[in-house]
Amino acid sequence: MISKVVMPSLGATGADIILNDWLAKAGDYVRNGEPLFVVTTDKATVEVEAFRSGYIRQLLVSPGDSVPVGSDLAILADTLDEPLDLSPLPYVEIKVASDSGRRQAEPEPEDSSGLADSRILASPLARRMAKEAGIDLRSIKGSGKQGEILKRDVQMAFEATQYEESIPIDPVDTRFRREQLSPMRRAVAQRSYLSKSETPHFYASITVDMFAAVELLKKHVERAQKHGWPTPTLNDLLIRAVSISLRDTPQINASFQGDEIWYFEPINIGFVIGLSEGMLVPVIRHADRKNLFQLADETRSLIEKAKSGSLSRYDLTGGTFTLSNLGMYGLDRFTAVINPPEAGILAIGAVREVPSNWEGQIILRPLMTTTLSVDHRVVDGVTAARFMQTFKELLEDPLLLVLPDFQEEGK
Amino acid sequence: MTMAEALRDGMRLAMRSDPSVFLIGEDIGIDGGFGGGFTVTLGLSGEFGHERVMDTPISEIAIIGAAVGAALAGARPVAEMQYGDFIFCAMDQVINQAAKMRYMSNGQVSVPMVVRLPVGATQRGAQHSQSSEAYFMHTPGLKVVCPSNPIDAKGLLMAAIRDDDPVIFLEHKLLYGGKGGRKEKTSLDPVEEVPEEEYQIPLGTVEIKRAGTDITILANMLMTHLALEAAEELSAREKIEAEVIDMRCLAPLDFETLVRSVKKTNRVLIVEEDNITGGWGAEVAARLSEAAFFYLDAPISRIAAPDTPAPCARKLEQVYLPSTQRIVQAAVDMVRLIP
Amino acid sequence: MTTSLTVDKDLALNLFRQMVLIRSFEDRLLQYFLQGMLPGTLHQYQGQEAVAVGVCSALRREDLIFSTHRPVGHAVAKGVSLKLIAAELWGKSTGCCGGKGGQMHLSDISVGMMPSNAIVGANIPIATGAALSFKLRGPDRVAVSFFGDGAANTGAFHEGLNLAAVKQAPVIFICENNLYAASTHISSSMRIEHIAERAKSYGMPGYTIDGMDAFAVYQAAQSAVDRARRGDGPTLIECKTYRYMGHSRGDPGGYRTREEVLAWGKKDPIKTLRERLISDYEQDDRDLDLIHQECQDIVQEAIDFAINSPEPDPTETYTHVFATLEGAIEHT
Repeated sequence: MISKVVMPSLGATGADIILNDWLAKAGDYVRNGEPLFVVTTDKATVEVEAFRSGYIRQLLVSPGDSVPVGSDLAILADTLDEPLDLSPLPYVEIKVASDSGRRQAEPEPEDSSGLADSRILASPLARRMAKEAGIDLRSIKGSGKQGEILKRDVQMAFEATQYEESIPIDPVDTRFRREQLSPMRRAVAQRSYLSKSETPHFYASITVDMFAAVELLKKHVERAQKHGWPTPTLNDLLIRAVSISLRDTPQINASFQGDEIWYFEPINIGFVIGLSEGMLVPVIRHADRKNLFQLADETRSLIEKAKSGSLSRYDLTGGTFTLSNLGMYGLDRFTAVINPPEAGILAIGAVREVPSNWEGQIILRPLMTTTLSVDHRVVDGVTAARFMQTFKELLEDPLLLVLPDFQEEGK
Repeated sequence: MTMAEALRDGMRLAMRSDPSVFLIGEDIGIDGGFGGGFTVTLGLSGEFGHERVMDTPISEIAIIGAAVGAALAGARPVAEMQYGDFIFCAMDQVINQAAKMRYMSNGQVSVPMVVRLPVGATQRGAQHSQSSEAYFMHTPGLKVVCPSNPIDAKGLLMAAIRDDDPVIFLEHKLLYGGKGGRKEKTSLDPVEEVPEEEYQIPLGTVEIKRAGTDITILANMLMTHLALEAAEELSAREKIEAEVIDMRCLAPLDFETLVRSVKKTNRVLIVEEDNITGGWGAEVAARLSEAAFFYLDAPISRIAAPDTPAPCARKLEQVYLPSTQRIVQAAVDMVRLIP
Repeated sequence: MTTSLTVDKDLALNLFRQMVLIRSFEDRLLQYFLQGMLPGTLHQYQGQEAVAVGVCSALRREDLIFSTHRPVGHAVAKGVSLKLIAAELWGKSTGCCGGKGGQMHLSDISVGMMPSNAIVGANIPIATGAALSFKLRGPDRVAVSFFGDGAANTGAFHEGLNLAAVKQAPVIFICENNLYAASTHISSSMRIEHIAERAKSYGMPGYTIDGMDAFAVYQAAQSAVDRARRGDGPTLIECKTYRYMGHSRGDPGGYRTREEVLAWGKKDPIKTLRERLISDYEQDDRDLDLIHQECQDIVQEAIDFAINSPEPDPTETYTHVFATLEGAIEHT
């Protein structure tokens, strides 16, 4: 059975209601009562729930569109494959031939991508969905156990293409340049707004003498070059330092959840990559279990993918803490906005040669100022301070960063 | 009623309404005796006499052979093996005789008999623990029924007795719950409100015991209960909604219902108590992968006993048997598929 | 056992006719087989005719017989049409089982011939079961299990006879002891000489009789049938007999001597009954020859019918697996 999601009356005064965001996408199953989308009225930003359960078959409006009361917003159905009367669908039913007396094997749909396709691991369902949606499997990153492409990956890819097509262009020209929010920018805008408005931020700064750390890094680089291994950068070193620090103060590796706090088991560090269109935060999972070369390998690959726009959802989710390094822009220091639903973010400034008091003498030392922002609902000042202390200690005596633990990792 | 009571009731009502129905087996009608291995026939000889509730010497070949002969001659015998494992003493009569008579005679005769087998592992060792559905599912000419609860048990047994073909009727020992009878330490003994009148549940049906959207779990007998337990836990803790289908009839098999479910959930987990190689799960998995390949988002997975005879010690039996935890874990792995 | 039953002329002639019919049929089938015109194999009955005929003459149409892999003699004696048998041997759709049973699984329940059994001994408990069903529900029908000396050593024999005795089932166990189970002589399979001795250990009467004498067989069988119908329980009758042909057509036959075959041939049931009919029943050669001729005509008509019958339709492969679910074969 097919039904439509219709914009309900929210008691608004009749001024324009704008769709802010969808909280689910085509192919998802929503239940009666679950939040489905967010709108902005003249009064407030409001979440609207689904009024019946079903699979979302198609989204008819996109964020930024005006959604007057009574307008159609989406199509729901009881199944994923019953035919809709309306516009062309992503999922077309394949008839299963089943005679009463004999059963025949499913006819294999024509594979237009040919040989290249056959080496890509994908579930049969994903393969069929991609074919029907006209998406090249090679452009999808798989999130399965063996890296295979699954239904959820195809769904995401499909949603992304849908999204691109549906951004309207304002034909009316005015004196200022209008730029529609890109999905990325929209996401950043929303997240930072939510973060700042909801999360009580608490800040703590510390300055770190980076001499020893830089020396250690040089050694790693030499070693890497000698063996042909991936070459670690300062960023990788910082990621490791953050991970180990979080191990010692795990209270920060957490998330505020209303009446609970979730303390995460893995330490997954997201690191900010700035692009012209905005920023992305790919995630390194179990960062504390990886040595500098492994981290280098992973960050390099993620950065490449970020630049080529091929980061997958898997790459961008699962983070428990974020690192933001604007040192390369010469900033002395800055404070970062927490990435919800995490509880902390560390902002790294530039390494500067600063005259300092070093064992009674004034000499130039390479110093780096770093600022921690934490969710004060989860982390108190003392804990934040302890974290920063640990971080500083690790970098100033960096052998501690690379000495193994008693219970050390296997990757 | 417990399942034993429900089965007893089914036989009692069948025998009341049809004089050609009679029971044959060891220790089933002896006055002051057990009422069969698991109290199921208790009291029936009191009502129907010892000719219709016929005790025999230890002669499995004769029990099954006589049932075949009586069925050929127009009666409706219900033969009981004291433990399902003993059916192997009489396999010729089941496989070569009962299953093939109708076909060989091109329809001139039929063999309207039921063979009741108490099955399942209960810490009694390898020769008293088998499930063995697979042997019978594999044999053309036999119908295979394996209920998981009292209501199904009575309805399916009455239908099996009415049916004109040989039916192998498997009853899991841990689901009997005979009142005052044999209770095992690990029995589940489901009790349900069973209708008191005659009713039949058609053979060749499976039942969706719990609807869901994320994964289809196929199970039978005791495993159905574990699967339902697992489904509750999956829902509460993992927000995974499992669809549990009770495979109460393996032959004939209602395959369409299974396919519909797989098309909905895209994932199949099979749970069976018997040894994994060549079990009913293997057959169902092969058929489903043929019929619903393009709807599968994960490989079809089976949880079953390993390819060993059943061990006796409790600790070892726990390794041997599937458990709710294993089902939960397998389902989570299949749904998340995260390395 | 007393032979107080006299055999009147009609019965005697009928016994003769039946035996001649079986012999003519089996001989003619052999000829077709040797010319390569009969598919499959044959387990032939020549020499044992007196047993089939003698026993079946004591039965009513509604009594059931359960036969073996060597069923042609029993089938003819019970009244199955030769056309149906021949067509079944030729695998045609007009055969008694539509070609699906074959030579070893002949069946025509309209005359009480239940599907014959190729598993040695298996029909013994089955016959017991049929008899139990009669006992339970009446009327006073009986069941007969035919089996050979080889079957007397199977577990099924032991369990079937014991159960029949314990429950006083109206079943008659006919053991056709032709001295050989395939190529194995009876003396290397058991330490006793007469299988009927075993009846004692089950508490049922057992008789050893001359299986080459149709009258003796008839009288013993009738006695046992009456006993069963009265409700006095089962009987084991051992018929000493001999098969002239090999176990099956593939039998090399080297395990018997020519002398032995010839010696038994001297006691041929048809020959001896023919002599008796002439001497005791005032029949003459010409009438008896006429019977031979008539039988041969019937045989030829049946075989011609079989050869000219159509093959079964390939879709018949899938039919009659189940009674209550036609077309139940879901997939190949």
